[in-house]
Amino acid sequence: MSDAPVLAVTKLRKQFGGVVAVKDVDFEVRRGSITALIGPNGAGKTTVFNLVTGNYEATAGSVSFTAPDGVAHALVGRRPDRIARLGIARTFQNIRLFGDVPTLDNVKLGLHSRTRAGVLAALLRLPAAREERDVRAAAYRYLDFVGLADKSHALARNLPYGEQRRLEIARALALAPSLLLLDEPAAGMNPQETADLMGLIRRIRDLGMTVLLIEHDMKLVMGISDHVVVLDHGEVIAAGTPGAVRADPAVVRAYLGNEEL
Amino acid sequence: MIPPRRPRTEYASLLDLLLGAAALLAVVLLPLLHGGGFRGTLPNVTLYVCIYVILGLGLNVVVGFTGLLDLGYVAFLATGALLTGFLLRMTTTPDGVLHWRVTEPPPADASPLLGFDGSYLLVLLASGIACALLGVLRGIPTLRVRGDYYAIMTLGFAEILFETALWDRSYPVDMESVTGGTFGVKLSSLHVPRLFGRQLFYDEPVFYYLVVGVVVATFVAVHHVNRSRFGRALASIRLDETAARACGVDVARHKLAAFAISGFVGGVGGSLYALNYGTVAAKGLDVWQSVLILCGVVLGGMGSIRGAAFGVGALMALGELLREDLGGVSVPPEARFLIYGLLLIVVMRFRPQGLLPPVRHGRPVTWERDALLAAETPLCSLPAPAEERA
Repeated sequence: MSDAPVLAVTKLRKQFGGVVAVKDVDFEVRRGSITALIGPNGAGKTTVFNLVTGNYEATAGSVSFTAPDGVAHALVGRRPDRIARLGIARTFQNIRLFGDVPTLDNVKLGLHSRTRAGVLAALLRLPAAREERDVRAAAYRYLDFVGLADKSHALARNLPYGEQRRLEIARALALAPSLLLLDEPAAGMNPQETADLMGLIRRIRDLGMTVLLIEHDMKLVMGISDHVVVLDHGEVIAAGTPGAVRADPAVVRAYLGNEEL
Repeated sequence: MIPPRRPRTEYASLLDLLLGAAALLAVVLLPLLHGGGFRGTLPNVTLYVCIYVILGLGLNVVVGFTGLLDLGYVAFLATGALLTGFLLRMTTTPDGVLHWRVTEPPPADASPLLGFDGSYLLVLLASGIACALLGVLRGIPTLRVRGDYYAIMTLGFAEILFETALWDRSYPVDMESVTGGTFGVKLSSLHVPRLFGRQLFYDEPVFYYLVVGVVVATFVAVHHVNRSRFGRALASIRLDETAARACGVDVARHKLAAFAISGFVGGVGGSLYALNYGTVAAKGLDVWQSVLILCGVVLGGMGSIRGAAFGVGALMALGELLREDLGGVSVPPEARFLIYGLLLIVVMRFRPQGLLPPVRHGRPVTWERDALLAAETPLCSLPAPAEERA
């Protein structure tokens, strides 16, 4: 295991035409931590995620990802599927499941990057069959981890909202990532579901994974984060422990207003 | 220990298997039970339908599995057919001079270059491979587009191919000497290849069973593709490209592989088409062929293998029945498209997923799930459920 931060974002910038969505952002994500990226709507949080996972190309700056073996990879300019294969998995703000197939198959797709059977194996049914059994067993295990093992054959789009969020996490876990990016995992959840989710995120961290999450639910953010980064208008205005950030006047002014925490 | 049984979702239902076996048996036995043997309307129509079923299965890989609307599938049919015609027309004289221009009659003392027994299997393979390459070449410029734009590009590609196939000497490349231009390539009995000692005429048992064999092989191959890791990746591209990438799916590579498979099957179908008719002309292979096959796939249920086979088969059989006046009603050829159109409107109105849509989910098997959950798998480093709960 390397001591280097899992993710080091340096002077990261993204412009859409004349709009600067992300303005020279710097932050680090320590290995094994739960880090939260917070900020008002439109602060550029999801844009940062999309820059890290390669869905957007950065205008300037760099993102460095250090794999568990200590090798650092520059992420800017890499394709999303390559970044996923490096061990960075994500969920999406507006859930992006494969709605038309069973939940089990959604998780199997998460295992895609770690399996090998190719076209010829598919055509001729070569030893792929052996791998396919492992895939099925692993898919059940990931479903079970998020508590959906008995929904294995339901179509993903027919699941209730909270379960869809958990299924998306299971699919991301199936990539065996070292860094997991969660984009508003608690959005639309009731308090009980949010509490369960906090437990799930802690269990994921306890497995040795690093979690970076975007969240508006302050109870969740303050309850589980080791480190909080606050964005406003595309700039980092504060970073530190939940307690320090909560007390920071700039944060209170920009984001929290007079709301009681 | 993982039980060797597969979950039901991955099985065709027993009914499907029985119906499929019954259909295959009927096709295999038809010439034997039919009074005229391999001659006559019924075996002819069966061959014709079988060849289009092959094409429908190939088209379904791109349209149904990958979710890209291909309006130019005829490009593969035409290329496979014309290439087969061209290869089989090549002759050599005893002094080793190669004659390949299809527009000129071969010298009197010439014999086919590919005259040896079994040569057709090579020609069939060559047609498939050529069309697989064509599929990849055609696919590369389309990788960045989706939806309607992809459909338009495939349509345009087929039109370009169609027009270039008719180029004569006045154009930069004299394609006419390869494709035969408007008149096409005619395979006389001199050029029809032999297999197992028999020439592959449309009314030969060898040809009939070769076509049936290719239908079965194609069916099995696309079935394996569909339920493999590769097929799952194609489905993920169809359902959400962004999410597919987030799962580590190399979208471009998978699309190109799907184009290659689809093209290969199209080329094989085209090659059999050429032999079945004994003559191929680019003139007859226009955009309507693409539309017809696509209609069949949509009618049967996009993404469903049995649906694509059934849809295309039913549509082509219907067309032939109307043409051959077998139903007792005489319909002018032009009216066939009217009937296809009506059929499609009715199906789309009342059953938009097609007549035999894909089965996407089955029932979970509890004991199987429990066994899998307890199994060791190198793909999952999570603690075993029992350990974690304890």
